[in-house]
Amino acid sequence: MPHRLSDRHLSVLALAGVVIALGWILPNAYFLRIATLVWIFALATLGLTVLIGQAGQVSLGQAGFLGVGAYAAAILPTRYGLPPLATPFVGAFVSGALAFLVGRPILRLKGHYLAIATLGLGFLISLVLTNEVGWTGGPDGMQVPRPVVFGVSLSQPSTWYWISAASLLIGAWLVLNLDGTTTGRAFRALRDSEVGASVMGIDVSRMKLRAFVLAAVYASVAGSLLGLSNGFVTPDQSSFLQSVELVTMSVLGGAHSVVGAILGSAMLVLLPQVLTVMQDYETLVLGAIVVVVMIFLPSGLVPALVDLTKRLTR
Amino acid sequence: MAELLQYIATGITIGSVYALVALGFTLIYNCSGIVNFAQGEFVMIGGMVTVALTAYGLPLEAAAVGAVGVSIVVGIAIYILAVAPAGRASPVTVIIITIGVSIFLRGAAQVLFGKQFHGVKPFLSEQPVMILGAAVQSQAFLVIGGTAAASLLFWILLERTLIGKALMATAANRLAAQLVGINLRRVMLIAFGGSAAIGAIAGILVTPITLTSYDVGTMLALKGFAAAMLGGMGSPLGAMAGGLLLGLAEALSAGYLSSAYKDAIAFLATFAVLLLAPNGLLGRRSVNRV
Amino acid sequence: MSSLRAHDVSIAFGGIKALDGVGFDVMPGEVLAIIGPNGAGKTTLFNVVSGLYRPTGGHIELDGRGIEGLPPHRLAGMGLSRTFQNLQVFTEMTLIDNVLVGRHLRERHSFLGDLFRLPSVARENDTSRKRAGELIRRVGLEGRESAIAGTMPYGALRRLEIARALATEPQVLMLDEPAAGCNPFETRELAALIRSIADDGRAVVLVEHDMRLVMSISDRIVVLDRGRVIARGAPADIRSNATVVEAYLGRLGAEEAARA
Ligand SMILES: Nc1ncnc2c1ncn2[C@@H]1O[C@H](COP(=O)(O)OP(=O)(O)OP(=O)(O)O)[C@@H](O)[C@H]1O
Ligand SMILES: [Mg+2]
Repeated sequence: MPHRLSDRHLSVLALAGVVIALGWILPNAYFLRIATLVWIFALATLGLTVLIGQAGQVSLGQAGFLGVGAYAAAILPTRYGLPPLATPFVGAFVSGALAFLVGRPILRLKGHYLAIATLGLGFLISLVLTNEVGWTGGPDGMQVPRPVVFGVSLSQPSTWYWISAASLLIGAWLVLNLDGTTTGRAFRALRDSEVGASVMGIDVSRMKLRAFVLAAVYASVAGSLLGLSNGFVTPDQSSFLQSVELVTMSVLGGAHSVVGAILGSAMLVLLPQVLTVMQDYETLVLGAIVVVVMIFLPSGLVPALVDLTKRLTR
Repeated sequence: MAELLQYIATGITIGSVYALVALGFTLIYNCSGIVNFAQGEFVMIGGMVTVALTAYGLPLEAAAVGAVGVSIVVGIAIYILAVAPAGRASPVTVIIITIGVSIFLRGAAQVLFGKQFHGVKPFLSEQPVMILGAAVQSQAFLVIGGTAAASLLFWILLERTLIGKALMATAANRLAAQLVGINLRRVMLIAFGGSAAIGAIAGILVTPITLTSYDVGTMLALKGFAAAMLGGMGSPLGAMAGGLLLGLAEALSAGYLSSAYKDAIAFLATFAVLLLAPNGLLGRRSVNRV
Repeated sequence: MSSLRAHDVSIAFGGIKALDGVGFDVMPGEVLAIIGPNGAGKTTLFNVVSGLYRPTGGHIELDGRGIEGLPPHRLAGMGLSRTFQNLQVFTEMTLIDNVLVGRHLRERHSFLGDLFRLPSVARENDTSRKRAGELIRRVGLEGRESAIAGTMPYGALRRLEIARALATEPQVLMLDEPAAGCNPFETRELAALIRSIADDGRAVVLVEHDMRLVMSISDRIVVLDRGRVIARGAPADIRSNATVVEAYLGRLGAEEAARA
């Protein structure tokens, strides 16, 4: 079906258009940094689009992998002399291997039990990052060395804008690719009925594991980019609240959709920036907004918008 | 020996708080299938309001009653304003709503009480009681006794009153309960109110020992959630057992292994149990019938 | 040679024996019906054979190989597929995607290949779509390929499950009450469909309460009651078997008379 193919490519092209336009328009370093954060968190959230939205498995510990990626960017160059630009790959490998090892037993659990198990996993990672002061600098975090390419140190906000935007585009392209393949269908099948899926020949636990590893790798790469672009990492990036924020980003935008992941991340990155004018009331307003949005748009922004346009064009 | 006893006392004390949080989880979960992540905030509210009211010069008893009252109002408001309007949203959505509520309450507490720690004086005396060489704070006995009393009350409410029967019937089969004329909305209100009261009681009792601040709720919710899972989601007895076990595991590993990793060890223990018994220690076996 | 053979299969739930020494066999090209009153253990037998439950005793063979205890996805690979009495449709997917899931084992699914959309993915997709489209036509759902399954009526979903099971290209197909909720016209079409599936050389095991359907297309019948086989034989023998009439057919006749 040729039109399906162009659909995917059109989405990526449209996204590229937005990214390039913003890169041009955004007036100063502050805005570029914010946009960079949006792309990075959107990348992490895309992993959850596959894990939660497609395969139907909740993870409340995703920030743990974000933390692994971030500290890979900090620790590997300072301790082992690895070039900083290689750290996202090594970090992704470590996260993927970790997810593979713990995923088998954890993913046997269902629903709330899976939620608590993933939550515990994220929590353990964050504890290690906080407590192994000798390695990680403890609660204060540590510096991330800047990559140097051809004698130029990569510290410009615009450089990181383009690197993170390109990573997001690649990440989005891969997730969109899954749609309409054997793997993509198997994910959605096991979300709708595990029994039905297994009778169709799908190895349910293996498929879940793949989605889990994929989500871990996405979060890890995002974490590395976060560390590299900020120039420092803290254990907060692996905290439970960060995990919750990632899941909220995914569900807020619409857990099934790639655009939803990006919109949800944009909302949760931008809101605190806007809310800083409210000073002490920031947390309170953030909570209220999350509650109100989830009540009125329970399946997220993108499905609601799609519904609206359908109704208008009918 | 004295050391071990000391750790056990600490473990049972802190475990009692986890048990009460887990009990609150269970009450709401049984009636609605909802996991209320704002459960820990009730503990925070209980402690905070007591601190505030005694600071205004109210006697401790009145302050405690006031704190439970405020917490119940908040619990009912959560149901009416946040949970009921969500209707039939998916479980993940509802979980995020309750997380949103907990962020909101934390934000409100920060505005009202600031970011510093607050405490109240122990209710009885500041002198610890010596048992076989272990120094146990007098307040610890209140926490343990209070937990026992609260859970007994809870049990009587469930087993011996009409309201309790309605709650249990709803827990067993929501549709059938509605068909026999049980008012679902009233059951939910009671569940949220009762759950808030249980949390507040834990907060009031434990604040003299652990102090309280605007953000204690998150960690307590996590521990309470883990305890409820450990015991088996949905079983009140399991919630109590899970809470106490978690508290003991934590205190013993803090004492003998590493205080930095006491939380890690508690969670690992929960993990291990869940892997062996995927429905928790006392949870109902659920066979997927097709 | 027998395709599927179960021998002395037993399973208990909390002390209650849901199956007690049940045996049957079915050959390629044959329709074997399993009938019996509600709660007799028919669905449980399907669940045991298809690997969802582990039997407490007995032996099950597929093409001469022991299969008890193997997980369902392995059995699917060995040529066993089934439908469900209480549907296990992928409700949020389209009809065609539901059937395409059945092609899972017929496709060379490499995770990385799918992620990077290697050219072979598109080629395989084309083949699979063609096959899935044929199956949708075969069960009479053409024109609804891109409808979301959750929005379709009950009877359509039963046929969708058959198409989905056929997509796995099974040697043995087990149907659990495929005619439930169908009108008489649909039931007649279903009878023709089931017969044609057997005539393709597949072994069909059919659980059904609609006796007209059962009697018209079955080659042999096994009657279960309270977890035990109480009779087996050709349709004509079963119809006149006193024990069966007593335990099941009589009651069923009375019920139908009462309803009419
Ligand atoms: N997972 C299970 N746990 C406990 N009991 C079960 C389970 N599955 C089936 N049973 C019991 O086994 C017996 C047989 O049930 P089964 O569903 O196999 O009957 P059936 O012949 O398919 O009936 P029907 O015609 O109503 O579909 C029943 O008593 C049922 O309650
Ligand atoms: Mg049945």
